[in-house]
Amino acid sequence: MANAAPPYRRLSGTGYHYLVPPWALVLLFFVMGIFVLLFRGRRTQLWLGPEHLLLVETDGYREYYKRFNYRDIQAFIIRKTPQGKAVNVLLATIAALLIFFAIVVADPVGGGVLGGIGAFCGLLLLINALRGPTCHCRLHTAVQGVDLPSLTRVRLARNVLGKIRPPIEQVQGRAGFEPLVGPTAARPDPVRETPGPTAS
Amino acid sequence: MRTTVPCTKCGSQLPGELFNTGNLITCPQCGARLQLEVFPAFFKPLEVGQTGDRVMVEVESSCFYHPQKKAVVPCEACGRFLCALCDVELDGKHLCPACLESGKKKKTIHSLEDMRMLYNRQALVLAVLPLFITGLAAIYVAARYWKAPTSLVRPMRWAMPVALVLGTLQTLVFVIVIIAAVRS
Repeated sequence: MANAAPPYRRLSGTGYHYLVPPWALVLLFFVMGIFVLLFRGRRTQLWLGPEHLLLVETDGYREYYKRFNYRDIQAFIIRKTPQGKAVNVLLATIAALLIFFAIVVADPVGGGVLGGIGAFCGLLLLINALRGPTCHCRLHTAVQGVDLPSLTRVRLARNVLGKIRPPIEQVQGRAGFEPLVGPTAARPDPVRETPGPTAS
Repeated sequence: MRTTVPCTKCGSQLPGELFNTGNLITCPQCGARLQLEVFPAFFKPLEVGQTGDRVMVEVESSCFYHPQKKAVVPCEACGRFLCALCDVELDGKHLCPACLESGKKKKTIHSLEDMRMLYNRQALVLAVLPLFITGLAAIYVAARYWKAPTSLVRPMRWAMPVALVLGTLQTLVFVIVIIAAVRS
Protein backbone atom coordinates (compact mmCIF):
# COMPACT_ATOMS: atom_id res chain seq x y z
CA MET A 1 0.00 0.00 0.00
CA ALA A 2 2.99 2.29 0.50
CA ASN A 3 3.40 4.66 -2.43
CA ALA A 4 6.70 6.11 -3.58
CA ALA A 5 6.83 9.88 -3.11
CA PRO A 6 5.97 11.48 -6.47
CA PRO A 7 8.46 13.92 -8.01
CA TYR A 8 7.50 17.57 -7.80
CA ARG A 9 8.64 20.59 -9.76
CA ARG A 10 8.68 23.93 -7.99
CA LEU A 11 6.66 26.80 -9.38
CA SER A 12 8.00 30.32 -8.99
CA GLY A 13 6.88 32.50 -6.13
CA THR A 14 7.08 32.38 -2.35
CA GLY A 15 4.61 33.97 0.00
CA TYR A 16 3.64 33.97 3.64
CA HIS A 17 0.46 33.25 5.52
CA TYR A 18 0.91 36.23 7.81
CA LEU A 19 -0.13 35.88 11.44
CA VAL A 20 -0.64 39.67 11.60
CA PRO A 21 -1.35 42.06 8.70
CA PRO A 22 1.75 43.20 6.77
CA TRP A 23 1.26 46.85 7.80
CA ALA A 24 1.31 45.73 11.45
CA LEU A 25 4.58 43.90 10.75
CA VAL A 26 6.11 47.18 9.55
CA LEU A 27 5.02 48.91 12.79
CA LEU A 28 6.20 45.98 14.91
CA PHE A 29 9.62 46.15 13.23
CA PHE A 30 10.28 49.44 15.06
CA VAL A 31 9.49 47.73 18.38
CA MET A 32 10.95 44.26 17.93
CA GLY A 33 13.52 44.70 15.18
CA ILE A 34 14.50 41.53 13.36
CA PHE A 35 12.38 39.41 15.74
CA VAL A 36 9.33 40.64 13.87
CA LEU A 37 10.04 37.76 11.49
CA LEU A 38 8.61 35.45 14.17
CA PHE A 39 5.19 36.85 13.26
CA ARG A 40 5.63 36.29 9.55
CA GLY A 41 3.78 32.98 9.60
CA ARG A 42 4.18 29.97 7.38
CA ARG A 43 6.05 30.18 4.10
CA THR A 44 4.03 28.89 1.17
CA GLN A 45 5.09 27.57 -2.21
CA LEU A 46 3.42 25.79 -5.09
CA TRP A 47 4.77 22.56 -6.53
CA LEU A 48 3.69 20.89 -9.74
CA GLY A 49 3.09 17.16 -9.32
CA PRO A 50 2.23 14.46 -11.85
CA GLU A 51 -1.45 14.33 -10.87
CA HIS A 52 -1.96 17.29 -8.60
CA LEU A 53 -0.87 20.76 -7.67
CA LEU A 54 0.71 20.79 -4.22
CA LEU A 55 0.51 23.78 -1.90
CA VAL A 56 3.26 23.49 0.71
CA GLU A 57 3.28 25.58 3.86
CA THR A 58 6.26 25.33 6.15
CA ASP A 59 7.22 26.83 9.48
CA GLY A 60 10.74 25.40 9.34
CA TYR A 61 10.07 22.27 11.39
CA ARG A 62 6.84 21.03 9.87
CA GLU A 63 5.35 20.97 6.42
CA TYR A 64 1.63 21.20 5.69
CA TYR A 65 0.28 19.95 2.39
CA LYS A 66 -2.80 20.71 0.33
CA ARG A 67 -3.32 18.78 -2.89
CA PHE A 68 -5.47 19.91 -5.78
CA ASN A 69 -6.06 17.19 -8.35
CA TYR A 70 -5.93 18.55 -11.88
CA ARG A 71 -9.31 17.03 -12.61
CA ASP A 72 -10.87 18.96 -9.69
CA ILE A 73 -9.51 22.46 -10.39
CA GLN A 74 -12.43 24.57 -11.61
CA ALA A 75 -11.22 28.14 -11.66
CA PHE A 76 -8.13 30.26 -11.11
CA ILE A 77 -8.78 33.89 -10.25
CA ILE A 78 -6.18 36.66 -10.35
CA ARG A 79 -7.18 39.99 -8.78
CA LYS A 80 -4.95 42.99 -9.24
CA THR A 81 -4.34 44.76 -5.92
CA PRO A 82 -3.21 48.36 -5.26
CA GLN A 83 -0.47 47.42 -2.75
CA GLY A 84 2.33 47.57 -5.32
CA LYS A 85 1.29 51.04 -6.44
CA ALA A 86 1.00 52.23 -2.82
CA VAL A 87 4.51 50.99 -2.06
CA ASN A 88 5.79 52.73 -5.19
CA VAL A 89 4.23 56.03 -4.11
CA LEU A 90 5.63 55.66 -0.58
CA LEU A 91 9.14 54.81 -1.77
CA ALA A 92 9.10 57.58 -4.37
CA THR A 93 8.06 60.13 -1.72
CA ILE A 94 10.75 58.99 0.74
CA ALA A 95 13.43 58.91 -1.99
CA ALA A 96 12.45 62.37 -3.28
CA LEU A 97 12.42 63.89 0.22
CA LEU A 98 15.79 62.36 1.15
CA ILE A 99 17.43 63.46 -2.08
CA PHE A 100 15.95 66.93 -1.68
CA PHE A 101 17.37 67.22 1.87
CA ALA A 102 20.69 65.79 0.66
CA ILE A 103 20.95 68.62 -1.85
CA VAL A 104 19.74 71.32 0.55
CA VAL A 105 21.81 70.35 3.60
CA ALA A 106 25.14 72.15 3.92
CA ASP A 107 27.05 69.30 5.58
CA PRO A 108 28.68 67.12 2.85
CA VAL A 109 28.78 63.99 5.09
CA GLY A 110 25.14 64.37 6.13
CA GLY A 111 24.21 65.10 2.53
CA GLY A 112 26.05 61.98 1.39
CA VAL A 113 24.31 59.78 3.97
CA LEU A 114 20.87 61.18 3.10
CA GLY A 115 21.62 60.88 -0.60
CA GLY A 116 22.78 57.28 -0.14
CA ILE A 117 19.61 56.30 1.74
CA GLY A 118 17.55 58.17 -0.88
CA ALA A 119 19.32 56.30 -3.68
CA PHE A 120 18.70 52.99 -1.87
CA CYS A 121 14.98 53.85 -1.67
CA GLY A 122 15.11 54.73 -5.36
CA LEU A 123 16.66 51.33 -6.09
CA LEU A 124 13.90 49.58 -4.10
CA LEU A 125 11.35 51.65 -6.06
CA LEU A 126 12.92 50.55 -9.34
CA ILE A 127 12.89 46.86 -8.30
CA ASN A 128 9.27 47.09 -7.13
CA ALA A 129 8.21 48.86 -10.33
CA LEU A 130 10.00 46.30 -12.51
CA ARG A 131 8.30 43.40 -10.73
CA GLY A 132 4.96 44.75 -11.94
CA PRO A 133 1.54 45.11 -10.30
CA THR A 134 0.66 43.04 -7.24
CA CYS A 135 -2.20 40.59 -7.11
CA HIS A 136 -4.22 38.19 -5.00
CA CYS A 137 -4.80 34.70 -6.38
CA ARG A 138 -7.45 32.17 -5.55
CA LEU A 139 -7.98 28.61 -6.72
CA HIS A 140 -11.47 27.09 -6.81
CA THR A 141 -12.52 23.46 -6.72
CA ALA A 142 -16.05 22.10 -6.36
CA VAL A 143 -15.80 22.14 -2.56
CA GLN A 144 -13.40 24.92 -1.63
CA GLY A 145 -11.66 28.12 -2.61
CA VAL A 146 -8.05 28.50 -1.48
CA ASP A 147 -5.89 31.62 -1.48
CA LEU A 148 -2.44 31.25 -3.01
CA PRO A 149 -0.16 33.63 -1.07
CA SER A 150 2.89 32.61 -3.09
CA LEU A 151 1.56 34.38 -6.17
CA THR A 152 1.91 38.05 -5.36
CA ARG A 153 2.51 39.58 -8.81
CA VAL A 154 0.25 39.54 -11.86
CA ARG A 155 3.10 38.56 -14.19
CA LEU A 156 4.18 35.72 -11.90
CA ALA A 157 0.59 34.51 -11.51
CA ARG A 158 0.11 34.42 -15.29
CA ASN A 159 3.40 32.59 -15.67
CA VAL A 160 2.31 29.97 -13.10
CA LEU A 161 -1.13 29.74 -14.73
CA GLY A 162 0.63 29.01 -18.02
CA LYS A 163 2.47 26.14 -16.33
CA ILE A 164 -0.54 24.56 -14.62
CA ARG A 165 -2.86 24.96 -17.61
CA PRO A 166 -1.33 22.11 -19.74
CA PRO A 167 -1.71 19.34 -17.10
CA ILE A 168 -5.24 20.56 -16.27
CA GLU A 169 -6.21 20.58 -19.94
CA GLN A 170 -4.62 17.18 -20.41
CA VAL A 171 -7.02 15.79 -17.80
CA GLN A 172 -10.11 17.94 -18.35
CA GLY A 173 -9.86 18.88 -22.00
CA ARG A 174 -9.21 22.27 -23.53
CA ALA A 175 -11.35 25.23 -22.52
CA GLY A 176 -10.01 27.64 -25.14
CA PHE A 177 -9.28 31.32 -24.77
CA GLU A 178 -12.58 32.56 -26.17
CA PRO A 179 -14.96 33.82 -23.45
CA LEU A 180 -16.75 30.80 -22.03
CA VAL A 181 -20.45 31.25 -21.68
CA GLY A 182 -22.18 28.92 -19.24
CA PRO A 183 -25.29 27.03 -20.26
CA THR A 184 -27.65 29.37 -18.44
CA ALA A 185 -25.83 32.50 -19.56
CA ALA A 186 -26.17 31.36 -23.18
CA ARG A 187 -29.83 30.66 -22.78
CA PRO A 188 -32.05 33.61 -23.75
CA ASP A 189 -33.79 35.34 -20.90
CA PRO A 190 -37.36 33.96 -20.87
CA VAL A 191 -38.76 37.16 -19.39
CA ARG A 192 -37.34 39.28 -22.19
CA GLU A 193 -38.40 36.75 -24.81
CA THR A 194 -42.02 36.90 -23.76
CA PRO A 195 -43.82 39.29 -26.09
CA GLY A 196 -45.44 42.18 -24.29
CA PRO A 197 -49.03 43.29 -24.73
CA THR A 198 -49.51 44.79 -28.19
CA ALA A 199 -50.95 48.23 -28.39
CA SER A 200 -53.99 48.17 -30.55
CA MET B 1 -24.41 23.37 -12.16
CA ARG B 2 -22.55 26.60 -11.39
CA THR B 3 -22.34 29.30 -14.03
CA THR B 4 -20.91 32.19 -12.05
CA VAL B 5 -17.71 32.78 -10.09
CA PRO B 6 -17.58 35.02 -7.00
CA CYS B 7 -15.44 38.15 -7.14
CA THR B 8 -12.58 37.67 -4.64
CA LYS B 9 -13.03 41.25 -3.41
CA CYS B 10 -16.77 41.89 -3.06
CA GLY B 11 -18.18 38.37 -3.46
CA SER B 12 -20.62 39.35 -6.21
CA GLN B 13 -21.25 36.67 -8.82
CA LEU B 14 -19.43 37.25 -12.10
CA PRO B 15 -21.18 35.91 -15.22
CA GLY B 16 -19.82 33.55 -17.87
CA GLU B 17 -19.19 36.34 -20.38
CA LEU B 18 -16.21 37.43 -18.27
CA PHE B 19 -14.52 34.00 -18.16
CA ASN B 20 -11.29 33.15 -20.01
CA THR B 21 -10.81 36.49 -21.73
CA GLY B 22 -7.05 36.24 -21.15
CA ASN B 23 -7.05 39.82 -19.85
CA LEU B 24 -8.00 41.67 -16.71
CA ILE B 25 -11.71 42.47 -16.63
CA THR B 26 -13.54 44.83 -14.28
CA CYS B 27 -15.98 43.58 -11.65
CA PRO B 28 -19.29 45.37 -12.34
CA GLN B 29 -19.99 45.71 -8.60
CA CYS B 30 -16.73 46.81 -6.98
CA GLY B 31 -14.55 47.77 -9.95
CA ALA B 32 -11.80 45.28 -9.02
CA ARG B 33 -9.58 44.18 -11.90
CA LEU B 34 -9.74 40.40 -12.28
CA GLN B 35 -8.67 37.63 -14.59
CA LEU B 36 -10.98 34.63 -14.45
CA GLU B 37 -9.64 31.37 -15.81
CA VAL B 38 -12.30 28.71 -15.73
CA PHE B 39 -11.67 25.07 -16.63
CA PRO B 40 -14.14 22.49 -18.02
CA ALA B 41 -14.56 20.89 -14.55
CA PHE B 42 -16.41 24.06 -13.55
CA PHE B 43 -19.34 23.20 -15.84
CA LYS B 44 -19.40 19.53 -14.89
CA PRO B 45 -22.22 18.61 -12.50
CA LEU B 46 -21.20 17.12 -9.16
CA GLU B 47 -20.96 13.33 -9.29
CA VAL B 48 -23.65 11.56 -7.30
CA GLY B 49 -22.29 8.87 -4.96
CA GLN B 50 -23.40 5.28 -5.47
CA THR B 51 -25.30 3.38 -2.82
CA GLY B 52 -24.66 -0.16 -4.08
CA ASP B 53 -27.07 -2.78 -5.46
CA ARG B 54 -28.75 -5.36 -3.24
CA VAL B 55 -27.77 -9.04 -3.53
CA MET B 56 -30.45 -10.66 -5.68
CA VAL B 57 -29.09 -14.21 -5.97
CA GLU B 58 -27.58 -16.10 -3.03
CA VAL B 59 -24.51 -17.22 -4.98
CA GLU B 60 -23.48 -13.61 -5.61
CA SER B 61 -20.62 -12.40 -3.45
CA SER B 62 -21.60 -9.70 -0.99
CA CYS B 63 -19.84 -6.72 0.56
CA PHE B 64 -17.78 -7.40 3.72
CA TYR B 65 -19.29 -4.38 5.47
CA HIS B 66 -22.83 -4.63 4.02
CA PRO B 67 -23.73 -8.32 3.61
CA GLN B 68 -27.04 -7.42 1.92
CA LYS B 69 -25.26 -5.52 -0.88
CA LYS B 70 -23.56 -6.86 -3.98
CA ALA B 71 -19.75 -6.79 -4.07
CA VAL B 72 -18.32 -4.96 -7.05
CA VAL B 73 -14.60 -4.84 -6.36
CA PRO B 74 -12.04 -6.23 -3.85
CA CYS B 75 -10.00 -3.87 -1.68
CA GLU B 76 -6.48 -3.76 -3.14
CA ALA B 77 -4.90 -3.58 0.31
CA CYS B 78 -6.78 -6.22 2.35
CA GLY B 79 -8.69 -8.16 -0.33
CA ARG B 80 -12.14 -7.73 1.27
CA PHE B 81 -15.06 -7.58 -1.12
CA LEU B 82 -16.64 -4.13 -1.31
CA CYS B 83 -19.95 -2.79 -2.55
CA ALA B 84 -20.17 0.44 -4.57
CA LEU B 85 -20.84 2.39 -1.36
CA CYS B 86 -17.69 1.15 0.43
CA ASP B 87 -15.39 1.33 -2.59
CA VAL B 88 -13.10 4.35 -2.29
CA GLU B 89 -10.98 5.06 -5.34
CA LEU B 90 -7.72 6.80 -4.58
CA ASP B 91 -4.85 7.24 -7.03
CA GLY B 92 -6.39 4.58 -9.27
CA LYS B 93 -6.61 2.04 -6.43
CA HIS B 94 -9.77 0.62 -4.88
CA LEU B 95 -9.59 0.67 -1.09
CA CYS B 96 -11.97 -0.01 1.76
CA PRO B 97 -12.63 2.69 4.40
CA ALA B 98 -10.68 0.73 7.05
CA CYS B 99 -7.53 0.50 4.90
CA LEU B 100 -7.91 4.16 4.00
CA GLU B 101 -8.12 5.09 7.68
CA SER B 102 -5.15 2.92 8.67
CA GLY B 103 -3.17 4.20 5.67
CA LYS B 104 -3.75 7.76 6.78
CA LYS B 105 -2.89 6.96 10.40
CA LYS B 106 0.28 5.06 9.50
CA LYS B 107 1.14 7.61 6.79
CA THR B 108 1.59 4.89 4.18
CA ILE B 109 -0.63 6.67 1.65
CA HIS B 110 1.25 9.79 0.62
CA SER B 111 -1.73 11.44 -1.05
CA LEU B 112 -3.58 11.52 2.29
CA GLU B 113 -0.69 13.00 4.23
CA ASP B 114 -1.35 16.61 5.17
CA MET B 115 1.51 17.27 7.60
CA ARG B 116 5.06 16.08 8.14
CA MET B 117 7.48 16.73 10.96
CA LEU B 118 10.88 17.58 9.49
CA TYR B 119 13.10 15.80 12.00
CA ASN B 120 16.21 16.18 9.85
CA ARG B 121 15.89 19.99 9.94
CA GLN B 122 15.20 19.94 13.68
CA ALA B 123 18.33 17.83 14.25
CA LEU B 124 20.40 20.16 12.07
CA VAL B 125 19.24 23.29 13.93
CA LEU B 126 19.97 21.63 17.27
CA ALA B 127 23.42 20.59 16.07
CA VAL B 128 24.29 24.10 14.91
CA LEU B 129 23.13 25.85 18.11
CA PRO B 130 26.24 26.31 20.32
CA LEU B 131 24.88 24.90 23.57
CA PHE B 132 25.99 21.69 25.28
CA ILE B 133 22.51 20.27 25.66
CA THR B 134 21.58 20.92 22.01
CA GLY B 135 24.47 18.72 20.79
CA LEU B 136 23.11 15.82 22.83
CA ALA B 137 19.58 16.62 21.67
CA ALA B 138 20.74 16.61 18.03
CA ILE B 139 22.30 13.16 18.53
CA TYR B 140 19.08 11.90 20.14
CA VAL B 141 16.82 13.30 17.38
CA ALA B 142 19.12 12.01 14.62
CA ALA B 143 19.30 8.52 16.14
CA ARG B 144 15.61 8.31 17.09
CA TYR B 145 14.24 9.59 13.77
CA TRP B 146 16.95 8.39 11.40
CA LYS B 147 14.44 6.57 9.23
CA ALA B 148 11.60 9.10 9.59
CA PRO B 149 10.24 10.41 6.28
CA THR B 150 11.68 13.71 5.15
CA SER B 151 10.08 16.60 3.27
CA LEU B 152 7.96 15.64 0.26
CA VAL B 153 9.47 18.36 -1.88
CA ARG B 154 12.93 19.04 -0.39
CA PRO B 155 14.18 15.81 1.19
CA MET B 156 17.60 17.15 2.39
CA ARG B 157 18.78 13.60 3.08
CA TRP B 158 22.24 14.90 3.98
CA ALA B 159 20.87 16.82 6.98
CA MET B 160 20.59 13.86 9.36
CA PRO B 161 24.22 12.56 8.98
CA VAL B 162 25.54 16.13 9.14
CA ALA B 163 23.49 16.79 12.29
CA LEU B 164 24.81 13.60 13.88
CA VAL B 165 28.43 14.50 13.11
CA LEU B 166 28.06 18.12 14.27
CA GLY B 167 26.15 17.10 17.39
CA THR B 168 28.86 14.56 18.29
CA LEU B 169 31.63 17.08 17.64
CA GLN B 170 29.85 19.73 19.70
CA THR B 171 29.38 17.32 22.61
CA LEU B 172 33.01 16.15 22.43
CA VAL B 173 34.31 19.73 22.43
CA PHE B 174 32.20 20.60 25.48
CA VAL B 175 33.30 17.44 27.31
CA ILE B 176 36.97 18.26 26.59
CA VAL B 177 36.49 21.87 27.73
CA ILE B 178 34.79 20.76 30.96
CA ILE B 179 37.51 18.15 31.70
CA ALA B 180 40.21 20.76 31.05
CA ALA B 181 38.44 23.27 33.30
CA VAL B 182 38.10 20.73 36.12
CA ARG B 183 41.79 19.69 35.89
CA SER B 184 43.03 23.27 35.89
